[in-house]
Amino acid sequence: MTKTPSLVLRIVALLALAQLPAFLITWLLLDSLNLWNTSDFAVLSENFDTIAIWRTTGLVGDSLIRDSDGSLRIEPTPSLRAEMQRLPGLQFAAYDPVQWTPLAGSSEKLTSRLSTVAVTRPRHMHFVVNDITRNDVTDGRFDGHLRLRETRFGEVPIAVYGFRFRWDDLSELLQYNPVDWSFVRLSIVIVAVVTGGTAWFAVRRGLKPLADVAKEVEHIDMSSLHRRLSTSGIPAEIKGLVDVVNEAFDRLESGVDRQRQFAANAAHELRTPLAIMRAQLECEKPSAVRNELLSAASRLRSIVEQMLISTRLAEGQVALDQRVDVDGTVQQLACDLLPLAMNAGRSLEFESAGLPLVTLGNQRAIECVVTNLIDNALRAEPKGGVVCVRAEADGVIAVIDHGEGVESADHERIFERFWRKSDATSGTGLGLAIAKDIMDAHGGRIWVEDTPGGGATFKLAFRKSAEWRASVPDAQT
Amino acid sequence: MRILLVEDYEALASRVAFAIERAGYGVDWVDTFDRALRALEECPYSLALLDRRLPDGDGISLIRHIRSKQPAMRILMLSALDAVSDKIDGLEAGADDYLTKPFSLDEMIARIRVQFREHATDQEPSIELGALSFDPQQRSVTVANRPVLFSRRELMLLEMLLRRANCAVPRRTLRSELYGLDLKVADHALTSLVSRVRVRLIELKAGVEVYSARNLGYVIREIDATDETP
Repeated sequence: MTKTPSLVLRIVALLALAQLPAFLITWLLLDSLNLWNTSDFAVLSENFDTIAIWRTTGLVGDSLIRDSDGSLRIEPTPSLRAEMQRLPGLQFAAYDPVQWTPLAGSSEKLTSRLSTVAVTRPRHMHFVVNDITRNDVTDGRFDGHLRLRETRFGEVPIAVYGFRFRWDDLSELLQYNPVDWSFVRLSIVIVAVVTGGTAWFAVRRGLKPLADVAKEVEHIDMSSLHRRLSTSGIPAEIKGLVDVVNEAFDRLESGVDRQRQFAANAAHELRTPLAIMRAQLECEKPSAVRNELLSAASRLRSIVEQMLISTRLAEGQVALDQRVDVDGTVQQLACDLLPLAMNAGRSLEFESAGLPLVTLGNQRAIECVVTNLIDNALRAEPKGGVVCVRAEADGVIAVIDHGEGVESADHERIFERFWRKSDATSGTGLGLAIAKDIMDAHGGRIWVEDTPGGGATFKLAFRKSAEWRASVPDAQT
Repeated sequence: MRILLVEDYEALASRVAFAIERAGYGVDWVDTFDRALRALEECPYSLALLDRRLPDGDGISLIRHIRSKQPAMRILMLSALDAVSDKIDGLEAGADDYLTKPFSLDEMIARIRVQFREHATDQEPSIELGALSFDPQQRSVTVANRPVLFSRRELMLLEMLLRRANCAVPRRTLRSELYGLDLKVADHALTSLVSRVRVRLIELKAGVEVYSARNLGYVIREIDATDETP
């Protein structure tokens, strides 16, 4: 059991999914723009190395240890040593958080430069030490920095100089500006719900033309193959599909037309040779061969008639609103077929309902069905037997033979096209299938039962016309 | 009395003509619209059998010419056209009856005879079946050329059966023609009438049998025709 995938669901899901990266990227972009504009990073455009301040002061902070006498001093950790190795010009200093006196291990050059900080006690300061290594301060750049840095021993003023950017500074930067994940999660949920909801509504509305087209296609069948899907007001994306479907219908229609025309022509063309054949046979002296051939000719005629009526029915060219007296029609047909039955050594009898059974339908189509059933019955009937045709007052026509009958397993299947019990039997070919088509078109029914004592009983039920109901007030059930 | 057959398929026309002649009528066969018009100028006909599809026109338009030149002529349309509307077209154009191809020759002869029964002419040939012969003008019956007497009702029954020889005559038709509308009486009366005629025919060695199909009707035909029975 595979569920049909929903286009709406698919688009909504994709839209929602697309929202996630869009949301993340937007957030990152906005955040970095924001960072760009804030204090530490205002100068970023001037000196990329300022990004290294956070890490470098951290390295110094991590290197603080407390001596046995309680005073702090800088004892470079391996990381700081590695950084010192990388940058020979790196200088750093730390101050006692209370007295603002330089701690042991601070760079002399730096502390001498910053001798006034004990007075101003800045929380955050950029400064220039241009005379230490460089002479290029004229462009307004600074290369030193002092800030209060959170360490194991509380906030400690730490100054650094000669720091340089490293790529892992970017991850330090993120730690410095920690992401508020709960906010992100909430945002994602809100975005998902709002996007999902609006997208659902929008996509459903947006795909309505597709549903409209589907509704149109639904109404096209073999009898309305000439119809096309309307292309006015169809969105461009669907128009391609609609055009292609219409073209497919064009091809289908012309193919079906050719088939129907062929069937009609073939049936038509067959009639004249059949008429000639039959006339020739009738002029022959009576003999068993003549009778057999006459019965074959009659069967051929019946097949040709069925093909024609079936084609006409498919084309919708058969008027289904004629007044047909089923009782009278069946009686007339039985009369017409009687000489044939006699030639074949069988007989026919008829039981009238005793009143006209008027249905609305096509006279010739109904004649075709009944002729086919009687013809089949005459072939199934053993020699010397009597096929009984009965019109019942409830409007059911029964054609009863006493032949081999139809196995109950095959009761449904014999109405399928070209069904045959085995390759050895001649089968019913198209006859019963067309009969079923015709009965369906008439809103009636055809089925087979067993004849008590052996044989098949084919039954036809016709739709009752108002006239019929009026004539049989008791049989309205 | 002559019958004009207008049919373009020779193979069919020759058999139809043969069957018509066998039934005792004279027949002229033409295969085009033009020749049909010429034949109508030259000779009076009692009945025309018209095919609708002719190489040079629709048989249906011949009806107008026939009606203007020989108004008393009976017209039977023959056609492979299938729609019921074609039949209605033919009848509306003035045809008296309509046969759809392929038709049975017996049925065709029966239809022709019915036309002549309804519109009696004085030259109608005898109907022959087996040793039996019925003269429609004299309303007399002979068996092997010996006159045989039947009652008025028996004669009516024989005529109706013989005009449709080898074709079924529905019981209801016989009943209403012979007895009118009193159904209860008619049913029994018809059954005994038929059995009387049947016995007479056997006694007379007429070479024909009246075959009955219950509730359906009767068929008169030659005994030899039933060589299905061993």
